Amino acid sequence: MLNDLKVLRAARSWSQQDLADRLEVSRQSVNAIETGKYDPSLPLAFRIAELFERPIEEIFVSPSHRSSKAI
Amino acid sequence: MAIGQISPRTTAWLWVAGYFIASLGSALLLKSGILPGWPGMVLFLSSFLLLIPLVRYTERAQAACGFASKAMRAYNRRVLIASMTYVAALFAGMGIVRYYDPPALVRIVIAIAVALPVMFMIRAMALLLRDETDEYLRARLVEQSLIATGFLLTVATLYGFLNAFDLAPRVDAWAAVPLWAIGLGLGRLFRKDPSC
Repeated sequence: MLNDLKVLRAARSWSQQDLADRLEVSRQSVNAIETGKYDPSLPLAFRIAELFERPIEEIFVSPSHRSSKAI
Repeated sequence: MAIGQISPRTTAWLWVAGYFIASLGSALLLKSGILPGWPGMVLFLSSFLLLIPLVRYTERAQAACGFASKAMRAYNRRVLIASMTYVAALFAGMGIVRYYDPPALVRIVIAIAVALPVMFMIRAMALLLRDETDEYLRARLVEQSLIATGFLLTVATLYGFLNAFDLAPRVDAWAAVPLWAIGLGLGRLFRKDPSC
């Protein structure tokens, strides 16, 4: 699953550790989600969406949805 | 390079290397007769004290890599205590069996006493999987545990048939836990995080 977590984090000048502390997860979790190595559970995705005050679908995008947009 | 400039990960690996060199070196001194009897035994047992700084520096490395969690710290503490108890119980048990030749009932009690700390290590892993609240770290642990289990089953099956066809000597069943631990280490290597 693609996501804009890195962009959103950078816009707030937060480090991965800052974001991890706010989400109460490990820095490795943030890194794994940002790099697309790990898809968060629905509860964690909601926590991320609430933290950035955006709908989930604005942060997490289906790869097929993004590729169809590109076409 | 000054000691302070070495990364926590390298420092942890140096302690791991130091621990293995000390325990294997002292075992060799004891076994070869260069340092026989109690002095050799005391030196060998003392080498296990290196597990204390090893765990401490491993925790620092985990924290630096963003892997530290409350559940992981509890696991490290439980495994450290179980390891030290295991070494003490194993050598006490071996000494009693060798020098006193106790009856079967006492041997059963000794066998259980030596196995108990290993069971606590298995319990520590189960508690880690249960108590880890970080879903990514827990998913990694589950994956590593599956790799370790697959490794153990594969090696045990292969070795079992080699033994059945008189191609390999018999191996004690307690080797299952160290083999599983090796599999866990392999699982960590396969899923090594590039950001660390």
